[in-house]
Amino acid sequence: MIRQPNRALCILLLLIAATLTAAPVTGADIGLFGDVTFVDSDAPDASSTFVLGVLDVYVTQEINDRMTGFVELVFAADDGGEFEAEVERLWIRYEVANAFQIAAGRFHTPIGYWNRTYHHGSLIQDTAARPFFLDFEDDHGVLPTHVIGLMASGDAWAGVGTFHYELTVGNGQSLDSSGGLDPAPADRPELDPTNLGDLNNDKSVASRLSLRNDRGWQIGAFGLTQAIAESGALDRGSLVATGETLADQTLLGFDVRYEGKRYGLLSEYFRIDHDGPAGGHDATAFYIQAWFDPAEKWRLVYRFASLDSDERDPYFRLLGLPAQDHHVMTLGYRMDEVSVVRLEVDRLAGSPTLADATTIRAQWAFLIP
Amino acid sequence: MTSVRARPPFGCKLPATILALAVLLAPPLYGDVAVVTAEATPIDALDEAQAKALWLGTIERVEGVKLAVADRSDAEIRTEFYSRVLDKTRGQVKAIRAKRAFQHGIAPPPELPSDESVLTWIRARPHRLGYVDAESVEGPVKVLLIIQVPERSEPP
Repeated sequence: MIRQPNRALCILLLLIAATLTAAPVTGADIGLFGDVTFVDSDAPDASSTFVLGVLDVYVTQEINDRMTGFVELVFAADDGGEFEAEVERLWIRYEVANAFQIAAGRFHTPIGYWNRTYHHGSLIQDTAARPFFLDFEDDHGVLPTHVIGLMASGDAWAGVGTFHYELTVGNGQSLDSSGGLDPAPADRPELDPTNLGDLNNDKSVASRLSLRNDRGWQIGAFGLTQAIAESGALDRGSLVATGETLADQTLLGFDVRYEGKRYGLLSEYFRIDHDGPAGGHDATAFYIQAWFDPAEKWRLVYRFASLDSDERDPYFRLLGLPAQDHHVMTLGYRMDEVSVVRLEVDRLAGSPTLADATTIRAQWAFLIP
Repeated sequence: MTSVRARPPFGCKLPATILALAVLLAPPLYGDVAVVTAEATPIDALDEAQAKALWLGTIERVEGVKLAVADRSDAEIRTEFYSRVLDKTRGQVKAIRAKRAFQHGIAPPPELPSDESVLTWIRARPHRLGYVDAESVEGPVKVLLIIQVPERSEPP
């Protein structure tokens, strides 16, 4: 069932699409990503199930020589099983020069390669699931994957390759701690990108600088700083008053990517520092993913992803994600440019609080361009 | 009672087959295809691999120069360009560009209706590339690549 407010969003999207497609020369590009996944796991309380992934509609349009608009709207089932629509990305960008473009709206935060490249449609990534610590906020992710504000970006040729930079200034994220430090899974709060307005005057600042050459290599370095604001209230048991800082968060990291004709590599490393009323804590997260094409249309992928966090850190306790490792092996068959089927085995291990578990995913992901 | 219609020979309808053959064997309505740009664009030549990468969006720069490409809305020259340079069908190109738009927020190239509109578009700003019938190239533009379109044989 789609709730009333979401109908309004649908109508808005259709109106935007109709308006954009009316352009005489530069037709709007509209596409729909979707996936259906069968999941089976030996984790406690898990049952085998078919899962409708997100239904992801995007529209992009070059409004004139210098201005581009983009909308990404995702329909996904919420925790109660009802479909909800959410604007995941919405921005308008003006190109002053190749080296300087300015955009306003809601973006995927420039923290690493994955978050800026793969977005919500799983077709374009090589695995059925994202690295677990890069899950989106509404999937109980622990990193600020969305930001609302301004983005400056640009690129420049540097002889050895193309430099690209992205810099965002936007609302800081918030968390509701009123459910206590170790809430039950059903009561876990989500990081909130604060769509409706920042809860304090501290803005989030993030940036990424990358260099890509013609031989398939790309390296990047990135950082983010923000104050995570309390969105709960003291009279409901929150740790601090509404709008006050739960934790100052600093992310630093780098990413490396190589894409050859038949094999490739992608890796990202994050250092996550928190400083709040409960003291300072740090964590590290990384993944290494390698792929190989044994035959045309086939791709074999292995990924090791790891989160090493301080179990006393209130941030990770609130979000309910303890330290853990994942070994992921995926075999994908690209049926054509618009659909892929995958079989994925995901082994969770190395957690002090979670039992080892194996999850199997069989996914059919597609694009209707 | 159900009527049974006689099947045409070889399981196909003869007029449709003749029409398809006529379309396939007819000479093209244009000659070779030229990839063109404004005179002020600081590159002098492209090879087919570079053209393919530019139109599929896998590269944006040649010799360090950032380039924007235009596509064509008229199916005949577009189909020829796609099959000879991109080695893709219209559907495949659309899907590749959709993924690029989704990943990087880059809108697909504008689709221009005629050789004249392409020439006007590239002359308006340097660093723009388009493709036109080679015989229609005129004025202050630079030809970066000629794609030979062999004359099709006449039907027997």
